[in-house]
Amino acid sequence: MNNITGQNTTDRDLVDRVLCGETNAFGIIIKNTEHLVAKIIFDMIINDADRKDIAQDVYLKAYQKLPGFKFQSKLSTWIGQICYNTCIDHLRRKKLVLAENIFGTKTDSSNEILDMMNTSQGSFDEPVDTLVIGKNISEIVKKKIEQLPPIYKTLISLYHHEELSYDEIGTITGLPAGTVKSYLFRARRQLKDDLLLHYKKEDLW
Amino acid sequence: MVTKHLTDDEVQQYAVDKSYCEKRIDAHLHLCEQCRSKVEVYQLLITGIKQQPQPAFNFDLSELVVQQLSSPKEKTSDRFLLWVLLFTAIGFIGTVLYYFEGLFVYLFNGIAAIFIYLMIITALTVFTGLFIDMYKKYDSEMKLLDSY
Repeated sequence: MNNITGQNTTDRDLVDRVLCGETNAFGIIIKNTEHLVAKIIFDMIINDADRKDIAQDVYLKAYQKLPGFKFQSKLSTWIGQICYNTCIDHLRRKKLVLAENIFGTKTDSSNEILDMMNTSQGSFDEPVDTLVIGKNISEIVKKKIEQLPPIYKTLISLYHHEELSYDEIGTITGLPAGTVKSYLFRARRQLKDDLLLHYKKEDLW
Repeated sequence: MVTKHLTDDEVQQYAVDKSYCEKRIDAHLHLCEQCRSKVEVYQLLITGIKQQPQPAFNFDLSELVVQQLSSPKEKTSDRFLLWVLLFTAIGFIGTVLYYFEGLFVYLFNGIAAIFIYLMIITALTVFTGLFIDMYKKYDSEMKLLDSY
């Protein structure tokens, strides 16, 4: 587990110091939570300049709202929630992604796979994408993750990298824990289907 | 012979954390190569996901944000500008009233009381409409901020 957990006492201390006017304590909060914010922003926002603006925006909002923070969740979860909402707001404002792309309603690729299997051109015996063959699984998966809708990417990161629980991810994204779980299953299935669509199982090892 | 295979959700759950899985799933996987193969693909996928590098900003975010927090000059200048504008407005209205007071009285002298009331009601209605609209916008923006 990462440094998000087990910091409630420290978080309280830091928040108290910030509320007493010690801005450097807010710098420590930023250092402690920056990796989570970076993860969400990199998953949700493509443009580099936008990422910088949003990252600052997230912490400025957090600073303004800090007096209202009641420790009902971890400080990092709360900042993650601000970050996620800021990203969603940015995507909607810029109309960069349609709602269905944000929430990932891509058609079930299992059917596509079945279709491909029925044609000689795309059978499992003949990998379609030969460019990446020979590279390790990390690179292959990275390529496939990049093709996922932002919400799926974020959920995958929060669950598998940050090792947050369904409830914590639900707090950040505003989704019920059951929906988070269901989206995660769908995201992994989509990744698996995409992998098998382009590679033989043996190529992945 | 195995007739009923595991569902994709069961396969995934086993690959992610088998401690939460029922014993029958474990038993099935011992017998079924096909499902075991599916589990292996998911396990490989999860390994690949976990191997992804941690993204990081190429600038010092902490320094950038803290700098903005410790610059109260902007707020002071904003408040100063507000006071200057307020005093200028009061001064302007006061000057106009002082020099043209007589004209104002004369302006309304020849108008029937009914028209004066009509003008006041119209002005109040327009002002109220604008105020409500402004308040609604403010309220929705505050709600949006609160949702963060």
